[in-house]
Amino acid sequence: MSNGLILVVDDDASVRNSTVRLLNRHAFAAKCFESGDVLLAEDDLVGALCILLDIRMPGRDGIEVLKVLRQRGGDVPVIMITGHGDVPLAVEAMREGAADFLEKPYSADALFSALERVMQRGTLDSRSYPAEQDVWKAIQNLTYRQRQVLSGILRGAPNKVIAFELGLSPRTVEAYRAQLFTRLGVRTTTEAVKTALALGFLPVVSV
Amino acid sequence: MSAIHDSPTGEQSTDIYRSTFEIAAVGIAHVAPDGRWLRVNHAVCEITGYSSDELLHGSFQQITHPDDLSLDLAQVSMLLAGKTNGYRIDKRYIRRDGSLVWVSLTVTLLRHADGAPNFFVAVIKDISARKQAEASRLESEARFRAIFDSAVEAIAIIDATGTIESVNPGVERMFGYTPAELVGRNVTILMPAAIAREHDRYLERYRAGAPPAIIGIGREVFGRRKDGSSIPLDLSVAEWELDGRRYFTGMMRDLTPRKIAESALQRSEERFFALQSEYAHLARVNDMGEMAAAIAHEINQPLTAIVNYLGAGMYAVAGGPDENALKEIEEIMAQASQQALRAGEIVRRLREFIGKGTGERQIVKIDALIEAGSRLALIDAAANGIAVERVSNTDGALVHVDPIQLQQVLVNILRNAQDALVTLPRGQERKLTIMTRTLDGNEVEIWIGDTGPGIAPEVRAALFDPFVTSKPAGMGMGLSVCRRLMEAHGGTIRLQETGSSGTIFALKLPVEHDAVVKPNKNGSQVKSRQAR
Repeated sequence: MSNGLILVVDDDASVRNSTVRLLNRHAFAAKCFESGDVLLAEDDLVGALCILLDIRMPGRDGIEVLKVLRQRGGDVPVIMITGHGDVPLAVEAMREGAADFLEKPYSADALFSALERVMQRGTLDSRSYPAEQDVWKAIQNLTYRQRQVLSGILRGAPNKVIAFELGLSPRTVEAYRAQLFTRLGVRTTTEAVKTALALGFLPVVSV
Repeated sequence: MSAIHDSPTGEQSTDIYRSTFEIAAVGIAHVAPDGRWLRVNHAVCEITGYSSDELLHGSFQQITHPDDLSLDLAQVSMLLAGKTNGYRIDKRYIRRDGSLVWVSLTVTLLRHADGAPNFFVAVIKDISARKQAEASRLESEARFRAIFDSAVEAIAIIDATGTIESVNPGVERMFGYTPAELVGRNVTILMPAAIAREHDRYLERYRAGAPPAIIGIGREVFGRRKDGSSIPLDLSVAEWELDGRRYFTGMMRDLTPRKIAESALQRSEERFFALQSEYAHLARVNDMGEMAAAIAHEINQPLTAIVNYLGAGMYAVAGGPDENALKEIEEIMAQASQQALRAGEIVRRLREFIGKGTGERQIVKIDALIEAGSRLALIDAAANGIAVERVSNTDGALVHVDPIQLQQVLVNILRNAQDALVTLPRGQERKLTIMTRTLDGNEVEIWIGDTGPGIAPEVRAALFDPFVTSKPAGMGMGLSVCRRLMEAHGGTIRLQETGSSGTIFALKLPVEHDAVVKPNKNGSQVKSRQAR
């Protein structure tokens, strides 16, 4: 009858309430938590199919909650829910072992595709992309400059900052950005980040 | 006057003649045809200052003013030649003491029986007083003329019916009519139609004894030029009487240059005001730029909810519209629309804040102002784990402010406080306190305190200077703008205290007293509006 139990962690009541309605309509059971602290106070998370975890919350934020969950050895997959412009946080979350991330507002399709992938494989990895081989090759074939720009993007740096760090003009950075988006077959920054992370491309921390 | 051909004869007549000669109030003299005095009466001595002996040793030519002598001599020769029977002239004598005396001189010639000239009879009247009056009248008239003709002001003299008696050149310059076009016309020709209609009635009422509305007062009116254009005037009117007739003198000063200067000043004030509000506006836009991520996040919340609700609704429809589904769809739609309104509310607040504003000051409750300002500034306080404490002790005190600019100040201080708080490690208290109270009933004080790490000592001293900031991404404009805005409202802002236990900013504003408050259509409290 039920597809499984999803835990929804968000400090916004309307987001919780609407997510539950959406999940219920898709035959998922849902349980809500108004903060990460409340979630962590829960003794037993076993049996949950997935956790939808908001990053920005009062008390411990999503990343800290994720770390604690991993320390506790829980293996319930976590999909991070991020706000606009939270790419660096998303990247950090992926490093900490998040299965995927969704940027608010996300479509119902995006949510269920993510859930589907998580249910199938537990975590987001290279196999979730059919054209993995091509993309992998594409990443391997990126020029040095394109890689540098991709690193910058994964750190959430704006074009101007990347340009400053690389000693390039912002226009040149824009050009590199457009080139590598084409090579990776993506249109948005979020897609680029997901693709790169899925293929294990992690940003160079120090430039 | 006919010539006398002989002197009186007979003793009686001689006595009468002599006494008449001596006691006459006017000077009478007999003068030889060559000008020598033959006989003078007492009055002649008084007029000239010479004794009769002195006079009788000389001639009239000797004491006549040189400028008047030729005229006199010309008359004398005409008289001697028989061309006239007598003459009358005004002339001057030089008195013994050197002073001048004006006299009216009437001269006839007595001839001998054979027709030869015997002697002149001169009647001499002292007319100095009349001459002096005449001179001063001419002088005052000349003075008046000089003023009348050269005045920058337009001067018109009208009679009691409003008919123009005379105008000065200023009227022509000001109105474009020549004096000939105006004299004899009614003064209403110089007035716009609306005022002209009133004027006739007004004069009538004034003649009937109504109190004057303008005489001796002066007022700003509009005149009408010949070309039909109107001209702002300062008009003052004086009333006077001559020979039982009443006249009015109107003095009109062209206010156009003053108007221009005034409006230039007003424009420059407006320009300054506009620049100041433009500056404040730019600072607000900058504030919101710095808040963009927080605002986007807050708008994304309702948007996320809406998309979720609508997604659920679509699945409900797709699953077959049974009774349960319909009920849920109804609920979902209600909730989704509520969330849309929530997003709209955020956008509305944002737009209000970054709008240019009207610059209008309103009388508002200080607490309502703080409520409005903090709603925007604290938009993500909860998400950042910041607890907000609000303490009010103002008893509904009112302030007279531009609400948007005051919100701007509040937003700046509150954002600074929050920026300080989020640098604290998790687990440390993040608390923001807003306290309001009145001081002696004359000032309202706002304290905004945070439990942040405090302001670095090197920044403290120049805290309110532009381009001083401790924020990596900050412009350093916020507090300098805040101080400017508070001062523009007659208020102050200062750093009350800062240290490892937190920071407190204190803001003061004058309280608006005895305001009659009535709610306006937006529900906020408004008493009066003014430009600035």
